[in-house]
Amino acid sequence: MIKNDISLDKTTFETFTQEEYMVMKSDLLQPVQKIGIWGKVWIGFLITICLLGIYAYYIQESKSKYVTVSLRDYTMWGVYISNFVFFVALSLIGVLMSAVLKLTHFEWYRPLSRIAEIIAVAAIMLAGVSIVAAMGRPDRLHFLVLHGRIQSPIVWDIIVIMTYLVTSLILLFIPLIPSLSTCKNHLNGKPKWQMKMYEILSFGWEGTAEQWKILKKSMKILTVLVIPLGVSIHTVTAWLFATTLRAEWDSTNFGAYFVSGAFLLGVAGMVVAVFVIRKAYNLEKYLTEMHFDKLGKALVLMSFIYIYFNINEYLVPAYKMSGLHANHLLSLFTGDEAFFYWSVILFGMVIPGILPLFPKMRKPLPLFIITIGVVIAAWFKRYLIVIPGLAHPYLPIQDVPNSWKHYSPSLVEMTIVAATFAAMLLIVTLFSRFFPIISVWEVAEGKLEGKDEIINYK
Amino acid sequence: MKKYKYILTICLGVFFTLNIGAQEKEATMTLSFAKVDSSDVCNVLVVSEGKPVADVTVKLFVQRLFGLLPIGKDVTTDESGIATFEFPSNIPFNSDGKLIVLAKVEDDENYGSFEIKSETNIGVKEDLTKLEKAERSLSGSRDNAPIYFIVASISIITGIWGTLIYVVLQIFKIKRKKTVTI
Repeated sequence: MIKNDISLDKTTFETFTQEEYMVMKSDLLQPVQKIGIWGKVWIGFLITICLLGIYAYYIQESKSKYVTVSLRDYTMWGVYISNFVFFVALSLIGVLMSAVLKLTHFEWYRPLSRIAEIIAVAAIMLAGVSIVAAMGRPDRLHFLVLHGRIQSPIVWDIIVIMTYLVTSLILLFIPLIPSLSTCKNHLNGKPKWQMKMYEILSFGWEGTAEQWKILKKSMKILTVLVIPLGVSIHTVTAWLFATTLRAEWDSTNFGAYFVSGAFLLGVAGMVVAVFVIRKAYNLEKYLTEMHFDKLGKALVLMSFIYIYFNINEYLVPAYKMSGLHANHLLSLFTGDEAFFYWSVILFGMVIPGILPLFPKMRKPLPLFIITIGVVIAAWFKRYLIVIPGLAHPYLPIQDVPNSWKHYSPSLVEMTIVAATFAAMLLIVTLFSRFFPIISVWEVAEGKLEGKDEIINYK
Repeated sequence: MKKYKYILTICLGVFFTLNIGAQEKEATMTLSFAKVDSSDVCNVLVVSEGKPVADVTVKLFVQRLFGLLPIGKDVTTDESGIATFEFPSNIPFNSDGKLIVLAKVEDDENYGSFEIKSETNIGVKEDLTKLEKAERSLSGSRDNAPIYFIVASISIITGIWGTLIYVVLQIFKIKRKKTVTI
């Protein structure tokens, strides 16, 4: 790159010059600087789906729910709750891709951390929305606070989701402060309100040594805090099931089983996001093939951990095949849900566990295709945990209309689910259009390889 | 054309006549309770056209909040038209001190389906106080959460939210430090 005649900086910085820093800044601010026609079409498409979802929710709430949704006495948690579990799992992406890698000094986390954090924030928000969509009486939401029992896992879930959301938001915001200052100083032709927003949110950032010290310290505290919080949020979500009386949820394994699944989904989600952002914003220089290589290896590790927990979860009850479990397990292994179940095992665990062992499969495109399969399988995996579990209660189902015995989501439910996905993508897209999706200073700091302090770069 | 209409009218006439002939007879039931050797019995009398009807299978139920609780096995009426059920005395009655008892005949070949509903004051008053756990426990009410549980929850929540508030205050400190440049 431009290194030849920068005598001014050469003396101080061996690997990374101020001029290179300026190039990097303009590269990483590019998506914020200019939104192309396809960018606008994409945002318009997402907004349309969100509006359809809002309309579907209006129909659901204004007509009787029994008319618009397929939820009944037995399957009282349908796609809304499996969608909620999916989003909670996805939100652990922030823990893994930002916090764990940061604390264990895996330097390649740097361009990935902000992508992971915004996905985490968006996912946890939409997890909350999914819960409200599933509620019979959303107007009584505040009753959870007024009348909730502290002993109830539902109350723990609300507390931990709120805490994790706030922590993730602060963890997203703190490293953003220097970037906001960068936006304020380097973006041009943007509306006044946008520049004012950068001005206010950058908290008078000047990059002084003291400011850096406070920033780094706060980041460290939150990075440590977010790991147990992330593990808690998904463990508590697992306990919502494990503490409910259903044979197939009666498992001491459930917390770890859910968390391991979330980490696999986190890696897969990261690959998909990195691939799309890299292509859409031409960031090949920062999101390199090395990242895909590393993520591919992480995918193999997480797949095998998840396979291990799945074997624990299914093999032990299948070996005993007691009356309580037999119905449910046989419907998964050879019955109605067998096609879904084995597809999920194949695309969600076996393929991502084996194919990325080969270096060619860790290239961007093959890995992207593999991880798309993992993300879809992960959604259906949650569906297979929630719905067949409910359809096999301890007391046999009898004397009820036939339609209560089986569940398939209605059009209204699927529209709302589609809207939650669109809303999540919309949050990530809009964020990347207003703020640098790759943290400029974190990447620059990595380039310095510890030879200098980032504070000298303005 | 006229001829066909004539035949059709005759056919329909024959059909309705046969149908009326095959129609089920009407029957009614009456419920009565009695005490036999210190245990309660429920007698269901089935009558049709003023005469008792034998060989009709009767089912007895007690109405509960979410459905009907079957009482004993099905009983067939004897020659005097009576089906006798042993009636348990330990069923919790409603808040008004009454039990609603139903007798049903379902799909009888001669009399079809019919039922009768009656009230009785046989039963026991449910002691609800045993449901209201007074001691603190995980399954207790909101006000009866275990002390250790409340203390642990509040400590964890305070610890984490305290840290978050500390970090937010640090962000404001960043603003105050802007004048000190290097």
